[in-house]
Order: sequence, then structure tokens, then C-alpha cells
Amino acid sequence: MKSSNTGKYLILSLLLLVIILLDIAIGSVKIPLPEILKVVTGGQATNPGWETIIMEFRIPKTITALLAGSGLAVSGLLMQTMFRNPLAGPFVLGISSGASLGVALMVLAGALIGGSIFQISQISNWTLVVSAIAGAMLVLMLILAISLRVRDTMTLLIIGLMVGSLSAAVVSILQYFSQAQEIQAFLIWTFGNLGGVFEEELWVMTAVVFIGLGVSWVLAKPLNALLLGESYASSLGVNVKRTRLVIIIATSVLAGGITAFCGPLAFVGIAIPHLARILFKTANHRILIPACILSGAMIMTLCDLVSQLPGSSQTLPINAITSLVGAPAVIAILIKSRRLSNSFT
Amino acid sequence: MKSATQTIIIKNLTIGYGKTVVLSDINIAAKPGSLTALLGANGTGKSTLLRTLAGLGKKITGEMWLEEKNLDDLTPLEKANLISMVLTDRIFPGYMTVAELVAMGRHPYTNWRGKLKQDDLFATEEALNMTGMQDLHHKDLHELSDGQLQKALIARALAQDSPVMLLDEPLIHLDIPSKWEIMALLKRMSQEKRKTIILATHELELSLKMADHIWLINKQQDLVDGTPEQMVTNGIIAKTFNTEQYRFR
Repeated sequence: MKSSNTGKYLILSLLLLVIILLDIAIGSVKIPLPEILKVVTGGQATNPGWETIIMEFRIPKTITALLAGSGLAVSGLLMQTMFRNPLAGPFVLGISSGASLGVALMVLAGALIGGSIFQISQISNWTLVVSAIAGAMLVLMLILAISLRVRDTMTLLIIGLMVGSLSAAVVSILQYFSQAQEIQAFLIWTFGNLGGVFEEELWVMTAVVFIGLGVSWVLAKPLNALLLGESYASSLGVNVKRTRLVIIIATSVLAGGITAFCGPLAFVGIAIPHLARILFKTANHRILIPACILSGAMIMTLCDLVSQLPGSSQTLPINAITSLVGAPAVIAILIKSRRLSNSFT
Repeated sequence: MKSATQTIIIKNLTIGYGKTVVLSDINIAAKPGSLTALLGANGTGKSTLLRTLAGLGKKITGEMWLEEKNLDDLTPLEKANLISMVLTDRIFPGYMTVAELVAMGRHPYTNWRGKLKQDDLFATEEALNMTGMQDLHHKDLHELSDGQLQKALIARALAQDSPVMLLDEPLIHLDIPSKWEIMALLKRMSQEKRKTIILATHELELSLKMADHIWLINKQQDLVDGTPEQMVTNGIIAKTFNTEQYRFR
């Protein structure tokens, strides 16, 4: 058991490394591979422009993809275990809807009310990030308050969906009264974007994701107990209410933080945990959390690679790619293994 | 009755959901090395009593003492050291082997990472052996029959190594040979491991034959207790189940 897991981790890591290198190597500007390796290993490129492109654009983008992929995959895993539901993902609690609401209020309503105060072109990345965080936090507070009152996780799941539906309604009302230009600005945010996180933002995002992943790792043992259901977990000495609270906080930090910086990245959070379970044939979170980190990072970087349409200078929205690449792959795996339904009641 | 030789002592306990009282003023005790069958019709509060004892549900009033410790004073982890459970909750966590399930019983004893030490592995193996599950330890849970799954769940509770084991309807959905097998296993565990085992069940005949003690919730919603012989000879069984037959549903 143990040694075969190490082997799988090793293969995943190697694949990840190759994809990372390819992701850095391929882009709208052609840079020879030796030059890339030189820059990546700390050397000087023959063309200083190349160095700028690699160090200031491609590497931050790849790091963003790694962080987003691993964070979303782990938060999806936490939600699936907590809700004992294969359809749960990082956004079931309405976190991405909350972030969307925040951004919609800023982009759409901000323009509506302020008129000339906000020109679309002036809305900076930080403004988007802050409004997304504010929206996500708002929903998070609401869900936390509810979770303290509601004993049953299924009720919580439905409330999360309702909250999501509510914020979606507000967003569509805002859209209805907005100008085409503002709607487009908002839509572009919803497409997801890995290429807009630089310098301080990247540091903040890195810190947020690492905190979330660290908390998840500490949760591995109670998460395993929760596999048997809340009553069994409780009879094993797990403080279920407190654990549930910490799971919600970890998920919100991960999903909320990533959504704030990259937009609502679809799909990865739901699919990767299933992929990890099938690859490692286990339900043990001590194995699944690292597996989700590796495969989430790998798939997200792969999607980023594909979205750049190798050989062209066009870039497709990352959200379209995650689903286009991911959905058929996961469908194929599920049909082949036919075991997903066994993972849940 | 309230001597120090009792593992469980319940005094003036009233239980229910929220403010709805299901059973009131329960005074009862159980001693180590005994198998007790908790009988009563559906909805009389068997599960509620077990869940309250285990701390999964809140009591309304009264006291519960376990090995001379007041349950109110115990943390969830301390309770987990004293009580293990087999519940009716469906568990299908996917990709989990019998050995992994049984090892979950060691949860209260492992460190924050859940790492199994030598004695944890030993307890797991012993539980597998005692329940006769050692040959199936590598099987995934969904590959098991209902009877095997029930034994695996009992093995998990056994690995938890607590003086008290509470089982909620462990015989339900099983065929007759499996019911006997499980009952015999529980009896053996109570004797060899000196455990206090209480199982809620509808199996009247089996309980009268195998259990050391009967706790019976009668039609007046009183919890009465006695040995199987006492319960049959004083006519409580016949009165409660309104029949000369043993079987009922």
C-alpha cells in the first residue's frame, strides 16, 4: 500500500514538473527552450525582453495556476466529505456567488450609482479583489451564523444553494439595469483569469492558499472520522460542531481567496477529488489531501497551457478550458471505473 | 443496585427530543461482563436512550454514571474512551477496507495525524480475529454482505477498547443464521472482554435465549429490567407484547 502510494505521488510530481515547464515555455512570444531553462535556473537570457516575459508574466501565471488548482481541489474534497455528497464542491456554500455579488456590485452598481466616479477602465485589479473578498466574506458570515444554529449538514447544503441563488438573482437585476460595457467587464471577470495576479497580490494569494491547505492538513484525522457520518465521528470523540466550523472556514479561505484573485474557476473543485480517490483507491484524507494538491495543481496548469492555444497568440477564457478539458476526462474515468456511486451513501 | 460493581448507573433519567419526553424517570444499572437486550416497540425510545447514554443526544434531566464518572463531566474524547457504538447509520465511505474501518476505532488514541502505533495495530488485529473478519480484512466495505458489514462495524467498536459497547439494532436486515452469529459474538465479547454490552433489538426470542439481562420498555413507557427468566415468569413479556408468540414487529 504505502510504497505504491509513494510511486503514484512520484509520477504525479514528475508529470506536474513537465507541465509546469511547458506552461512556462509556451506562450504568444516564442522563446527557445534553452533560454527558458537558463532563466528558470537563475541565469541571464540573451534577450532581456524574454527574461521580463518569463519572470514577470509566465512564472506568476503558472504559480497562480498551481495555487488555484490545489486550493480548489482540496476545498472541494472538504465539502464532499462534510456533506457526504459527490456533487459538492468548493462553491456549494455560495462562496463564489458571494464573490460574484461583490464584484457585480462594484462593477455594475458602482457605475450605476457613481456614474462618472468609476470608469470601467479605472477599476483596478485590487478593487475587484477587495469587492470579491467582501462578497465572499459576507456570504461566509451568513453561512457560519446559520451553521451554528442548524445541526444537520444537509440543511446547510440547501441553505448554501439558496444563498447562491439569492445572490445570482441580485446579480441579474444589476445586469438588467447596466450598460453593455459594464456587463462585459463583469462577464470577463466570470470567465476566470489566471494571468492577473502579480507581486503583492501573488504573495497574498500564496499566503491565503497555504494557510487554507495547512488547516486542511490538520483536519485530516477528524475528516476521516466524518467518513462514517457525524454520529460515529462524535462517538469517536470528535467535536463535530467545531470541526464543521473549521472545515467551513478553511474552505471559505481557499475558495473565497482564489475566487477573489482569479474569478470563479469552475469544475476543478468538484472533479479533482473524485480523480484523486480513483487514482489512489482510498478515502483516507492523509493520502487524498496531498493527492488533491498534486492533481489539482497539475490539471489547472494543464488547462492554462491549453488555454494559450499553443502555436497562436490567442488566449481562451480559463473557465471554458477547465470544463472543456476536464469534463470529458472525468466522464471517461467515471465510466471506466463505475465506482463513484460507491463512494457515497 | 448502586454498588461500585456496576459499569453503568442511571438515576432519575428523563430523555426525549427537545422538550418532548420519550421516557421519564429511568433508574437502571448494568454490570461488567453482561449482555443486555433493550426491547420495546418502535418509537418507544430505544435509540434515544442509547444515543443519550453515548452523549449523541441531550438528556432532559437526571444523572448517568459510567465507571463512577458522571457523564456530564466528560469531554467527547473521554466518553469515546468509555463507550463505543454500533449505529444504524449507513456508512459507505467508498474505497475503505475492513481493516481501515476497524482501525478507525483507534481514533481516540492516535495522535493528531491519526498515525497507528504498535498497540493500535495490535488492537485492530485482535478485533478482526475475535469477530472472525481476519480473512476479509483487505476487502472493500461494499464487497461485504450485510452480516459481514455488521461484524466489521462490531469489530470497529471492539477496537475502540471501551468498557461499554452500545449497539442500535445490530440484527436488523440480517438472515437468521447471521442474527445468531452476531448474538453469539456479542455474548462472547461480554464474557471474554468483561464488557458491558447493551443492544437495542426487536429479536425477542433471541434476546430471551442469549442475553443476561433484559431492559424492557413496556406499554406504560416504563423501563423495567430483569433476567430473561424473571421477565417471562412474571408475565411482563406476555403482557407487553400481548401475545404468546415470541416474534413481533
